[in-house]
Amino acid sequence: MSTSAIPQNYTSTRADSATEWIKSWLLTVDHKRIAILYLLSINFFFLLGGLAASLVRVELVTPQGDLMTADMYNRMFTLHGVIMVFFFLIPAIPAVMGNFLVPLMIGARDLAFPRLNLLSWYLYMGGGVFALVAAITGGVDTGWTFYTPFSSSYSNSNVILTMSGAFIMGFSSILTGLNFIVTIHKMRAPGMTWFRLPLFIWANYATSLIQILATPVLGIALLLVMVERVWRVGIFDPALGGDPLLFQHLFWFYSHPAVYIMILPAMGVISELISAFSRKRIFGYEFIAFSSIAIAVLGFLVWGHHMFVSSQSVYSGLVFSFITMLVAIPSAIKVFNWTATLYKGSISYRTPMLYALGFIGLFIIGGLTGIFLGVVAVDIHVTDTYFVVAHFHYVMVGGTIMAYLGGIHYWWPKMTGRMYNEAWGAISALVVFVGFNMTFFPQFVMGYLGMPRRYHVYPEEFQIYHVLSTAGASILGLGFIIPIIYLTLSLFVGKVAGPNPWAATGLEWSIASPPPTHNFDQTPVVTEEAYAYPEDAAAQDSDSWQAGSHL
Amino acid sequence: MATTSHEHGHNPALQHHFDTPEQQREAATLGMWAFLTTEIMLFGGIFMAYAVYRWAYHEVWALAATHLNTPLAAINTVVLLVSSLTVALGVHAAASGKQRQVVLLLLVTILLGAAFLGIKVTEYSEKFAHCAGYANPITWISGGATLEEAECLVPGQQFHFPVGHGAEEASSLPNIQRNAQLFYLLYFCATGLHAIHMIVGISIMAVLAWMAARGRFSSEYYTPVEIGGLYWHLIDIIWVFLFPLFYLV
Amino acid sequence: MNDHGHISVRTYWNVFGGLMLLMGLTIGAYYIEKLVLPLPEIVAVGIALLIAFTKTALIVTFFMHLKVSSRLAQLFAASSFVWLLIMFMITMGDYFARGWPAQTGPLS
Repeated sequence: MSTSAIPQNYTSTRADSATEWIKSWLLTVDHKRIAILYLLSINFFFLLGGLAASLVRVELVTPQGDLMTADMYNRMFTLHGVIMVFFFLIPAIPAVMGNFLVPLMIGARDLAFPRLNLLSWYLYMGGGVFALVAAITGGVDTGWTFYTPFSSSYSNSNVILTMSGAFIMGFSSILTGLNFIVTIHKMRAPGMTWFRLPLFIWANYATSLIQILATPVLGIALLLVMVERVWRVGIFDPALGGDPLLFQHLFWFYSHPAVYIMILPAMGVISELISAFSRKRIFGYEFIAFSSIAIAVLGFLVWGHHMFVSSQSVYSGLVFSFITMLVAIPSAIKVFNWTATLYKGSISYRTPMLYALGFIGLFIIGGLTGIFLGVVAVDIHVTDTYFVVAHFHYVMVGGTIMAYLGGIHYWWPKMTGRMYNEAWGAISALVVFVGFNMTFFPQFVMGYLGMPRRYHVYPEEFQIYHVLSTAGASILGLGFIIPIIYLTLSLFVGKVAGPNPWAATGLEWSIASPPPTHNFDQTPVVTEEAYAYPEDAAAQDSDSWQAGSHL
Repeated sequence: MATTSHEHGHNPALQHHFDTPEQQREAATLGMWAFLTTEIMLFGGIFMAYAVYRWAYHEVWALAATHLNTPLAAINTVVLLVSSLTVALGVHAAASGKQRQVVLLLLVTILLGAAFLGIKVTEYSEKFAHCAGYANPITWISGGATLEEAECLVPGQQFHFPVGHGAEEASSLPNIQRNAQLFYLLYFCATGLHAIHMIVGISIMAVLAWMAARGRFSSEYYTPVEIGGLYWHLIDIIWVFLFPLFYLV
Repeated sequence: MNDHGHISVRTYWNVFGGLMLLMGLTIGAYYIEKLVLPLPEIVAVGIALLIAFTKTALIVTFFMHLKVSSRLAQLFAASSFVWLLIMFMITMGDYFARGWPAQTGPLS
């Protein structure tokens, strides 16, 4: 494996012609190839959503609306929201890393239903095509939340097309979740007990439960709005006896848990990274594992905190507010356990670890401001301001995207068999961190001062914050472009990684990189817990340290 | 549904990524149950809307329910319950390896499913015929008897809920047209979505019957029949709730 | 099903008989309420739902083999109803507390 040649693996094909080769990818049922298909398509949508975000940010440099009309601006931020939420954040970590790693980590040859897995990729692409067609032919102006009665009765944009896209993508998400649940229950290698599972698996399991229980409710809510639009009848139209708030109930019954669909797998990735680069057994394994399940369950009980000011009953508001506080407990348990894992660990600041540490810091800010927003009184003050925007970007970008990038860097050698340029990796991690904070921290300030979201013109006193934010966004954008370049280059010039470049534990590191098509030559038998790093790893590492070594 | 189709057209032999047939069977069954959970939540949204509006407009809705064709729906309930029995017996026959019986029972199920849809179409077309001003679909086509009292229970611009009989009771209810329309809207959404599931269910049964006829199953391997059956029973359960909620109370 | 328990053909027919009986009951109850003994609407809905849940229990337990299925399948079947309950309780709680649609006050 130390030679420069990469052995036969899941990416090599015996195709004679280009058509054969394309077929071997587009009709594959190998979970690893499907993960690569997802990687490419999800990153495409990420760039598209990022482009929309850039245009929004550029428009906001000046207080006047000079780049776009109000209507165009509405369509632009909706495009950004729809693409990022439905086509990037929700599928990102489960569909790319989960697909690649779940079977590898539990010692299975594939997911339980490989063809279903391929079907969910096609559904994802199908949904994506709908969303793209909707965007090209005029876009949507409802915001990604599709609130009624605007979306059902008044909006003149491509609501139905976009909703169909989200609806179809929802089924892709359900099928992925279903596949993971069955795989994790039924396909574990001998000896792989529940408490020997890597925490990434626990996190994905919790995510999958949310996906199968919550997504169909969004599906039916969107379906009812589409019916209402097509036949001009009112289910959510107050003029026709309907209650627009019912849509919000159904929508947030999905979309609040969906926030945990985005962040839970990210937390799973972070657990892996922290442990691997501290070379230490993770602190409080059971607590982290069960806190994932607790977050998944509690996540279903708090949706009303999105509706504090939308005429929901104040008593419901109080109860929702209280339960929202409870979510902080399992989230904090995770953060404390990660921090405790670092203690006396043999920490190495490799690129994935930089992202993981960045994640912890940003997630704390995002999480704590979430508590502000969970308090009814504070929320009423900052509802629909940039404070909310900053909060959820700290969780979604600072949390999910940091973990996504960290995970991609960590498992890149496993996926491709090549190492990327470490220096550029570290630089881009720092650029992302700095750019991110510069983009979104000013938004907390201006939000608190009263800058409302979703407006393209604003009073001049906010300009300084908007300019800072846009400048930060350009840095952030650069931070996303650099990895694309050096990761692509690494495919051709990268050093051959070998099976376990990080000296990490876990079944996925026990096989060749990239893994052979059937993963394991013989079914592995697991005899030890996850993260079984030697007790004295820190001492060993410091003894063997020499100038120029990585660790 | 998707889980079933996954098994279709595949060699009954063990798939490469499973270790034992037992594991494969358990995975398929669990997958189907997880999928049914999803289906229940999907219909759950419609029932949620039903609960809210029923609670808000209960008098109008109780009145509106009397204009649905309860006898036809009762017949449909019987049809579906019988089909559930034939599916259950079909799975049993598959487990016992009686291939001919499996095919027969699945074909009967398909027939019953088709009968259900046929009755459903009759019911729907009656409502549309009323909108066009005719007494029933046949007179609508042949141009026969027209409806005496104007009635249109299909939601839309033309919607008109007749308040003729029991006028004093009905006219005292505020916004009766509007709220009755909500009832029929949900009625069409819920039964329509259910009918779509029936069509999918019938297709699954057809594929299963074809596979059974080709001798794909044995007492050792009949997982597709089993999980296809689970799906069919779920459709039945949905109807068990739709029937009393819309046609009766 | 072969290895962990078995449901006989006889049971299927019995269950079917039970289902038909319950269906008769629910229709019967409806006509009795309508023609003979007008009950409050909430009681009527309660009776209909009770019968529907009983039918569901019969179908799920016997036709869908939940009685002889793995604990896991039972858990998943139960979870969907628990989650429906969560959705109904919280959403209806809001409607009860809010009093929707807004009632016009005594002075209007």
